[in-house]
Amino acid sequence: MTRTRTQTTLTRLAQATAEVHAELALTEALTSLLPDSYPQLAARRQHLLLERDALYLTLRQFDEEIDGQLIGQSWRWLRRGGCRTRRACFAAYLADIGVTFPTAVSFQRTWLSVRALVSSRT
Amino acid sequence: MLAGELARFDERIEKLTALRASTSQRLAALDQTLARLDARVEPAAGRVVRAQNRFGARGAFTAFIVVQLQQASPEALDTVEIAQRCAAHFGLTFDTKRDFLVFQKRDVKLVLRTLREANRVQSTRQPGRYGANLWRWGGRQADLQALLTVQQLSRTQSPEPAHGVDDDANPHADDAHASRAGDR
Repeated sequence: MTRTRTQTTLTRLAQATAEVHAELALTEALTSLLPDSYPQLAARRQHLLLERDALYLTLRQFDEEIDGQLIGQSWRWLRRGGCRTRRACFAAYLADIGVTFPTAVSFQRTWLSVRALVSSRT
Repeated sequence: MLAGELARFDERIEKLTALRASTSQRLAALDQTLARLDARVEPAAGRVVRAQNRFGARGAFTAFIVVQLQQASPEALDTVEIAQRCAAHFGLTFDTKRDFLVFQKRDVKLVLRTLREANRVQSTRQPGRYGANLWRWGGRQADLQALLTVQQLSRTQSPEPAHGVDDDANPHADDAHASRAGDR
């Protein structure tokens, strides 16, 4: 594989790892906020952990010296649904993984709790 | 002795089983990552490539042989010595003497011949029917001065003719030498 293609692949892998890191952080925050939705969140979290480990192994396959744990977080994945606002994207994401709210107020409360995290640029 | 060989085979099977498990895990990880990056791509579409990776990075095997010859220069190394050094450096194990001979003929000599064709290495042969093939670092032009010196010495000392210079003239030389080295 040429150097250019390797670099492109590494960039994509690092981006995917950063997105998994961000989603893991979000599920962790949601688990404490929404104890009723624990089964859905735990299932999603388990899937993400498997994906994260697979990404770490893939990164090492390309470069033995890369430590995937040092990669930060990226929230680009949340905006992929074509939603206009972060709040709408967040609602779509929760619906996607099967988390529901009995009232609009409870959703709003959850959103306010995680808004700072979702809006962070780390 | 046979029990010892069986024990050695068991050790190798154990190591290979562990290696197989870790490789299988890495392959599964790559498939999973591929599915995440683009679910439309079929992981098996890449087909099976039996790539050579016994020697690490690309060119590492040739680079190691070059360094060995450079360090030994101006002395020459014989093919078996070079093959043994390569095996020790890259952690290669050979189940049979024949496997070592195949490695020596197929891998080591290929590199040495390529280096000789690139005029980076000279080859000579030890005297005698089963004399070992010797490889010395340096092209023909670089060694012109040394050749002149040898010629002058041979003129002043003895009129004995020089021995052959091409290992291909005696393809069995390294085999015989390797067998003797193995018997020792």
